[in-house]
Amino acid sequence: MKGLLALRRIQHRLYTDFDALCHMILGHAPPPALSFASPAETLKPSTPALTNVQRLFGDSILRAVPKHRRTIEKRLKRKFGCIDDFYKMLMPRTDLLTCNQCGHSYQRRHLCPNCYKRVKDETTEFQEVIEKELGLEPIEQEVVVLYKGERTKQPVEGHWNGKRIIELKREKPSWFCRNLLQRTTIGNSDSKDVQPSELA
Amino acid sequence: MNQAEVSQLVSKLRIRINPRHKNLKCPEGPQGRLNKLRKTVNALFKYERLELNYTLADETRGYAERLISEAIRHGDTHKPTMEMADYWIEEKQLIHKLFKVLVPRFNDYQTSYTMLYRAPKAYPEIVYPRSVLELRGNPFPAILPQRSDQRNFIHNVLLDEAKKAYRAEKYEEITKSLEEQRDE
Amino acid sequence: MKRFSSCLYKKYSGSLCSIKYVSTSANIHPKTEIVAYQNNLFDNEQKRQREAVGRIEKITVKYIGVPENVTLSMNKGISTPFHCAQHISEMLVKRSGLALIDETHLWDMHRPLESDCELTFMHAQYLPDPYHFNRAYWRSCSLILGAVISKAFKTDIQPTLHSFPSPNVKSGSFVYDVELSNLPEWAPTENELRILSANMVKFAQKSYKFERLAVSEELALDIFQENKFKKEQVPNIAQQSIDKKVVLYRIDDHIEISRGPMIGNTDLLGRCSITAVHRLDTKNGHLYRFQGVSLPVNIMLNHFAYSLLEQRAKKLNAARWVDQAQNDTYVPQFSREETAV
Repeated sequence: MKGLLALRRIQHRLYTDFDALCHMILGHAPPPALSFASPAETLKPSTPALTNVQRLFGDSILRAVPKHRRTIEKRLKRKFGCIDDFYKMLMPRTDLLTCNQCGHSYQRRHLCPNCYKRVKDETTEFQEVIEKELGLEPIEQEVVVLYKGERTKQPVEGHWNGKRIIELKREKPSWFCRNLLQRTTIGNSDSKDVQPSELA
Repeated sequence: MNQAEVSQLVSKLRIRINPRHKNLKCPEGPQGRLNKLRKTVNALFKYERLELNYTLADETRGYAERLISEAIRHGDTHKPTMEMADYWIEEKQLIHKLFKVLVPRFNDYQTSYTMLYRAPKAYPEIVYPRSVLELRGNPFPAILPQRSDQRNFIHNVLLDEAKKAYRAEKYEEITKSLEEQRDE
Repeated sequence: MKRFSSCLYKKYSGSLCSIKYVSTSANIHPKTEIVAYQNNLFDNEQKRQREAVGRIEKITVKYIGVPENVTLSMNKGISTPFHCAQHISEMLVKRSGLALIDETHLWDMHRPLESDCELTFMHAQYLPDPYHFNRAYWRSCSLILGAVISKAFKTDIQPTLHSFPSPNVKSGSFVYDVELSNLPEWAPTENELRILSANMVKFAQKSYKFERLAVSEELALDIFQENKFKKEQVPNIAQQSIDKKVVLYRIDDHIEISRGPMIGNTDLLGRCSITAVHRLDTKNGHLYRFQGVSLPVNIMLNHFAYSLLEQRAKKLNAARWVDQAQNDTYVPQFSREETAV
């Protein structure tokens, strides 16, 4: 950015100060005729040779362009940081959290990989079974997938009314909870069995 | 200039629609993009939960939600809706599913019909960000645990009590001012 | 003080471990000697109890919960739930504040296990109800507040810690009652409250363990000999407890009497603010009631909602001490509400 601005400045200078430009190119002072050019025609050259030169410089001047190929060493230094040249500070990652359910790490705002894998395996099984059962007939009912022994355990008579039931010949996995309570290993805290010892 | 009442013509979708679509990198160009999206929408209605790259999932979400909202709005006797469903759903048994299963399911929903989660990074096999797109109310195990049991966490308990205390104070003030008015 | 320093001199010449508590600074706080003495006694008692275990026997501890159910073989009288957590998962070590033994007894994280048992850990997001964790957390906050107050004031003001009432999360604030000897009329400024809050957080960040010790009445009286309030409380507490022992908790060098379970480590303290100091008029003089509100580390709350909690915590917390509740001899007549400016 700074380089570009510098180039622009140089370009502007050269446009306005044509004498300096001529000195630079030709090696000697410009012809006297130009020095006393009228203000209106400051930039109008008299000879065709200078026109070409000016046109050349007017179109493109000092545009920065890579001169040499960057070696792999330089590229890697820039990418991974080099203490002397391109220092890159190692920053700690603050977006890794621990899943409360399984204890594995997961990225913030993403799914926990361990928990998701469990769910994914179960889902693919469901999907295969459903696809096989339903086939190509028109689907007109909601589908419910039940585990072994769940069909008889319905809480209300006619709970599965209007739904297409597909049964799996497996037991329900322990981590699968359809109801509101999370995986319960300890009962409700409303129970009066809990006696904190010598509590204040 | 007269701006048409867009809200009367099209249902407001409860998801974010980006100002510009994603090109989805198809050799056939925009037509290929639509073909890809059509297949994905079809698969979403069929399998109800998909795992795909994030950009494709985000794109199909818009189309799927729009299709469902049109089906809810107009029903299956409306010709343009039927034509749209016919175009977007390739497996024709799913058109029955859309109007007979999904429409009653999503009829009274105040939320979006689909959920889009960010899947864990499958690096180094897969480089692109992955996601899980699913229709709500599907029969599979839930991806995220239910959050309805946080009532007893300490901050919720404190906030509930603070609310009660504040309300009690306000009632007292009101009764005081009423009494003062009565006295006057 | 004369009698006291003669005791201290004897202690210094006797034991080796007191040397680390000797202050080398020019102006020695009069309290440092007392603190060193207390900690000396505490350390010795701790050592004695550990040695009293004798032959190490094994107990089986069944852990039920996340990430997996595990059966551990631990040392009787030495291993604590904290050690069990270390064996199982780092997540449990970091987030657990309390342990539940056999689904009935609440156990401190650093309290040795006595027999075969079933173990579960409680944390801030424990489901279905983190009620016991919340209470323990509130109690621990009071304790930390006491520790901070005892060091916060300048040398000419002597804070004498009274006690704190039973924790009530729903009241909206945790409490500590202190007598400030040379300050009859004091209303803290906002800056002073902020300093106290900052001190709380800084203290907690140093990750001190809550060390529990059940001691005899005599030792407790010895430890608290210079605290007039605690000297009176000790006999009552000893009488009411099952085995006539007084339970003490220590963090860093602050020792406190409390019955109930505390959380395992101070680094579970997340946000904390000391919101108000109210003056209580009791039969025996004036006490200052320091009130504050706090949230554990993993609980997220936006600053506006937290400010609502702070506002509520500014109001006087009318909780009474255990003695009051039972004997009703001390009935504090709360002076007019002196909230912070």
